[in-house]
Amino acid sequence: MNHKRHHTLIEQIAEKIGLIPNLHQETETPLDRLTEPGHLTNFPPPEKWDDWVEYEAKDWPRLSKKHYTIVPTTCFNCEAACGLTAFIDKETGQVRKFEGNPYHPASRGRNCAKGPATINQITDPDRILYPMKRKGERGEGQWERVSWDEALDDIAARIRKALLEKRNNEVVYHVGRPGHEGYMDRVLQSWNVDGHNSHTNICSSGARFGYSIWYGYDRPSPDHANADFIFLISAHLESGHYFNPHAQRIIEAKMKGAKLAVLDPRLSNTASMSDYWMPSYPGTEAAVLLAIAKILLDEGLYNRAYMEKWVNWQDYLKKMHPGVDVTFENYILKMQEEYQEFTPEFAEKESGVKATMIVDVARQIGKAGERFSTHNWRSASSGNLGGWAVSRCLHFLNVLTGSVGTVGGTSPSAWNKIKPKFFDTPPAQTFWNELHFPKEYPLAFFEPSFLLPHFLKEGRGRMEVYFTRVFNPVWTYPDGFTWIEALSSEQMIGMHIALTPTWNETAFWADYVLPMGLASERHDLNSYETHSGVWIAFRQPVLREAARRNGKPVTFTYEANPGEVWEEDEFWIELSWRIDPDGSLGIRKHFLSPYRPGEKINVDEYYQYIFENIAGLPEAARNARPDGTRLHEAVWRF
Amino acid sequence: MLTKAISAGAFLVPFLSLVSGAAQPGLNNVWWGLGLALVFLGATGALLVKDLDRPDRFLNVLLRPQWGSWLVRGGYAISVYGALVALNGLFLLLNIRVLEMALIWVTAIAAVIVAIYTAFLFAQAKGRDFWQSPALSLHMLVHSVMAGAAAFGILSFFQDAQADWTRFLITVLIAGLSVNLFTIILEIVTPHPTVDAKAVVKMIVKGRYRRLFWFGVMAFGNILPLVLLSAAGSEPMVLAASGLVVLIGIYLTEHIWVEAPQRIPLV
Repeated sequence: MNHKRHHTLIEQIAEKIGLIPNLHQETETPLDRLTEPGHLTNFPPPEKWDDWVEYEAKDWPRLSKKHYTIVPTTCFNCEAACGLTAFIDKETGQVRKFEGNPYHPASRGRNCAKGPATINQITDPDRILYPMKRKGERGEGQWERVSWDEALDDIAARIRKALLEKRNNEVVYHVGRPGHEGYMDRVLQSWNVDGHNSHTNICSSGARFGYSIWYGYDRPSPDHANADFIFLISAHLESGHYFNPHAQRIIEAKMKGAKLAVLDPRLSNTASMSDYWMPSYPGTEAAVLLAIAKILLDEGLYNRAYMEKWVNWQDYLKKMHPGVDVTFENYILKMQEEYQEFTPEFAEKESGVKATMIVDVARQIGKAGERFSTHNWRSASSGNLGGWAVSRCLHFLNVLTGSVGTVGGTSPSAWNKIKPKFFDTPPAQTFWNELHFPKEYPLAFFEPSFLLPHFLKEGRGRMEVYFTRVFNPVWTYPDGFTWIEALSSEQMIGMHIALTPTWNETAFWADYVLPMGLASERHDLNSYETHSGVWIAFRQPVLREAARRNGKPVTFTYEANPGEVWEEDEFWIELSWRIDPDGSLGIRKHFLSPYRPGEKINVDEYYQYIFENIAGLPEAARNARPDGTRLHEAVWRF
Repeated sequence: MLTKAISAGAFLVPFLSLVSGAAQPGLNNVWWGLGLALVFLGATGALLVKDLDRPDRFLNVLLRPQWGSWLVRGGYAISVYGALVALNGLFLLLNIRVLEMALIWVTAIAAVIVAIYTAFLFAQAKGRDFWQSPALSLHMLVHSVMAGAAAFGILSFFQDAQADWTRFLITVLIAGLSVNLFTIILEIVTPHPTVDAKAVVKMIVKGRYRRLFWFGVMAFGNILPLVLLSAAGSEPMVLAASGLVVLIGIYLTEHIWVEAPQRIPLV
């Protein structure tokens, strides 16, 4: 195929005499082509990242060259942490655009719209650029700019006083989007506070519970790419955890011939791509799943070898059917009896999904056997009373087909995730905070955080220092007005600090609004079960890395970021030192450099230690950079 | 499209009278014809440029030509026609008789292309089923001849015209209106092959354009001038009024023919 466009005589003459812009001018030194014409290169090759030159689109038709330094980071606009590359204009020192990072193992350079949109966030004219302290009453909307030092000293003094007075339970950190691996648990343990609260109970804890009671892991890791049959509850092509890495792999599998079934009342984008759209009435998912289970049992489509080995069928028979011989055949008979009411016709009546389709899907699942991947996260599990049974019934199908931990099956989350080794692990807390885990809810799976303001109103406790971090309960929780009541009371909450990259309704009720970085302005470690594989990714403040490459390293990230936008990692180190200025509380010792004895750890050392202790990573980095670049330098760069 | 039709028709109508020998337009009318052709061609060009998303880049259409597109071919047709009309004026002014007939014939062919190229441009919009009709070019050519005759009809009110020229105009208008009515009815009653084209016909005949179509196009724009011209066309006042009504009728027809097919969702 000829990709050269014919340059007509008319065009040549018109360009020569200046009637139309000259698009065929030669520059003194044109940019090298990366490939032959007709072939495409999706990404700048990494060896050119330090000085990437491309023509400036805005100068059209002039061929002017723009020099960039390209710094990798990860997205912070959902939990998946897909790879981004920041294009930093060498002239202005500003981030000009974001593209996908082709070397990110989960996203592989393909991002959803939220990734490149980070540029809108960092240049948002209304963003908070400096630490703000409230003036007047809480919630009055009056703010004054303060320095990081003032804010740190004030907050540290409050926490120190609470700890000295054994009011450890009055220090609370409440997180919406974590986006890191274990950082905060370590900090809270070092303070000896049981201070972690999360948003999980209005989110995924229903599904997590259903999975957890099967095998102790609270999340699935479906290997969609290698599956023959994929079963999704809700719209995992466009929403939910890791939808972008999942979507790529689901479509890959479909292109190899896999079939996709989607149980979703909506004709979502995912449902529209499915081979079997099963629009069930909300809350009836479990009936459909159990009808499928019944067909697998009745038609002998289960995986006998797997079940004999991994299911405690002997215990089941002995306990539930004491008079029956303990044989696998009897177990199957009893299971068939157990599920006999869940006929496809019953499921159709309950759910509205046609019985014939249920039978067809069940047989396809049976045929796929070990190559059967499934996923349920929020939707049906969080939207219905007893929603945990949805993920439980779904995983039942994986158990019946023996597709647990197989190629193309569904693995436990932790199989595809790295747990970092820290330079220091403080002992467990000696306190139990009943505002988070009240004793009358012993089976609560994650903190019943939606009850927190009600507990405060009942007088079960108070919070002297309350951090909300990328967390906006006034807007996202049911009953936001109760949150406003609690947040506006200094009796219930002594000091509220909102750690946030953006203004939000909860930050409005804070004493301090402390601006924390967006995707390209912060350090974090990411490792998630996006596919069958273990990976680790590094989120980093790209302007800080650019400054380092430029030979002008900074001490703190806020020196490189826009305004004085900071990041939590360094904030917690500084705050912890100020809570324990003389080391007498035993906190400071957990924030000492593993490389410079007696001195305060810095954020580079924190990650250097982790990277050095990840099996295989130092070798991989050496191979990638045979010129002897230090490990963490290789990570910064690539 | 109306200005384009007038421009092409202003040349074609005197041309037809000459070659058919039906009437002598007279030098005065020939000058008027050339003038109207150039003025309305200029107006057409201005409207076309204004209609582009990026008018500032209109030169790219002509000077970075994509020869496969009727937008480009049409642009060149307009330019060439303009140049030929101007050359006719020059020949007339300097009384050059060499190759005079050849020039007139070539200009007439250019006028026909200017009149009908839009039909080919529309046909390139493959998603617009109603525009795929082969009758579209005939429809535009007839409009052009009608528009030219209508313009001269209005003009004849303001100056003394020869009787045979006026008769010729009336004949052309009546013939044009008849053919026009015939093609419109053909478009409506012929079974269209696609659902979208059927939907457009329904929209015109029974839907949102029904009043505009039946009262504006059919009754007012075609039947009324047909009746007036048949009854009392030789009255200068009637001829001029009919000319005006015909032009309005053409405008309304083109409005519907351009807009209605685009109201069909492409997905």
